[in-house]
Amino acid sequence: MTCTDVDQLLSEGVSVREMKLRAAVLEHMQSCRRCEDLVSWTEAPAPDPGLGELVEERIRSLIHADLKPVRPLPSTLGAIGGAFVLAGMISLLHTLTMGVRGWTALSWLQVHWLSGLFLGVILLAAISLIASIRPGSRQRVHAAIPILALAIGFPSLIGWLFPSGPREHFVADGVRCLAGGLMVAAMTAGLTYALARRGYSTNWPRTGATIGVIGGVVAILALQISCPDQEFGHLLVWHALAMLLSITGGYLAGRRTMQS
Amino acid sequence: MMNSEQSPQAGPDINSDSRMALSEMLLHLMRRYQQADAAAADELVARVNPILARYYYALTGNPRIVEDLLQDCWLRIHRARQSYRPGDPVLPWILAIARHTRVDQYRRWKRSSGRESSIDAMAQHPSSDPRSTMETRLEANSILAVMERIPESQREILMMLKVSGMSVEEVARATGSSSAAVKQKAYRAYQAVRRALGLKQEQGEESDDVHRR
Repeated sequence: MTCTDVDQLLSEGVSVREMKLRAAVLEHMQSCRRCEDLVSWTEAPAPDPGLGELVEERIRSLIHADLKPVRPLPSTLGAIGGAFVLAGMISLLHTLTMGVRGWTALSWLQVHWLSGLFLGVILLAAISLIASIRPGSRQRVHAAIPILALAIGFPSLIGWLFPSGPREHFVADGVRCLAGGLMVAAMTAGLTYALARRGYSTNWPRTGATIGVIGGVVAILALQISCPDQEFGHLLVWHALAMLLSITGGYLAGRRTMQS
Repeated sequence: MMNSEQSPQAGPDINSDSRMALSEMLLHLMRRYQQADAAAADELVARVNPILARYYYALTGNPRIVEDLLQDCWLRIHRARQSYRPGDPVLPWILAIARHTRVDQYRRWKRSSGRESSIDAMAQHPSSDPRSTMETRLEANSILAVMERIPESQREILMMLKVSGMSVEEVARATGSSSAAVKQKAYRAYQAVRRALGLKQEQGEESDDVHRR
């Protein structure tokens, strides 16, 4: 047993009481003053600020003043289900108003790969979002994962699956798509934000970016369904831009929420 | 409901049985608090407030700041109580909010003061706290003096392990990091404590020498 082993045991959360039951630790401590001091320090109770009963009384009355039953946030599975329902409803609404000319023009391979990407990103973003609005919960999916999956996956897939070629009205058609995409993204993100407000985020910029990803992926999905222009350049610039703006907007809105 | 005197208290060296008992009790209280049970809310405050007070005190060293932080933190806990998922450990949920309260307070303080300075600048020692006895203040000062020499992020981890008796996994949840990262920070923190204790001893010996001369 060495001093490093003692540090190792303490940092692994082994309690002093448990450590003192180990003969090797006791033997080492008898010969090592520094370890004995460290263990005594760790064992000593943390100082109490001595605030008294009055503070607790004030906190109690603060709680009693507004004590109503609350419904806990949904489970992770419930949140995933909710995200899919929201994405489905908004896509359907968009389809009803803008048609399905884009989806019918897609090949079997394109439909399957794009659906896989969109469903995967929604799944990851929902898991990340519910963890980010529940303090102290296990972070199974880091917020960067759905962002990277969408930001890298979408350009890669369209580069592989969609043809590129010269075309007319690149800007005019593109701006129309961008405006439609941003509208869908804003609607989705707004509804997701309204639901996320029920929780408590300790990192609003991250939560905002995740909400932006959900908005962005639903925007691209809606555009893929309705837009007849399934050409690589158009998709890469205008459809992907709607996604990027949604994520950036979400992040900035999150920063603003944090500052206010 | 358990009586305060009979119940297990969180502390630096609570054993795993009392830690489990405390966790179980907090789970039960939190569930009832969500259902608007006033007695459960009171009991939860009685159990958790001393943990939060010690945690904040070790980080700031100032009872007045601790008082503000506690009120702000409980207000947030109350408003966010629906974000607690029944069955999850309660202390990581509460300490994640407590940690965020302190970060927010620091941001506000920095904005209002308009000064760029370290978070450690917020820490001030209690110089005229009439409520503390001389004995507890001496004890507090020795722990705080050591704490002062440890970087903020490591100090926070150490206090969570020391004050609340949470496991490494629970501290990881409260800080939003991995268990490996918590262990690494705790390891560095204990080495820093070791150095600080050594330094204190040397300083003590030096001052003894001066007095003898």
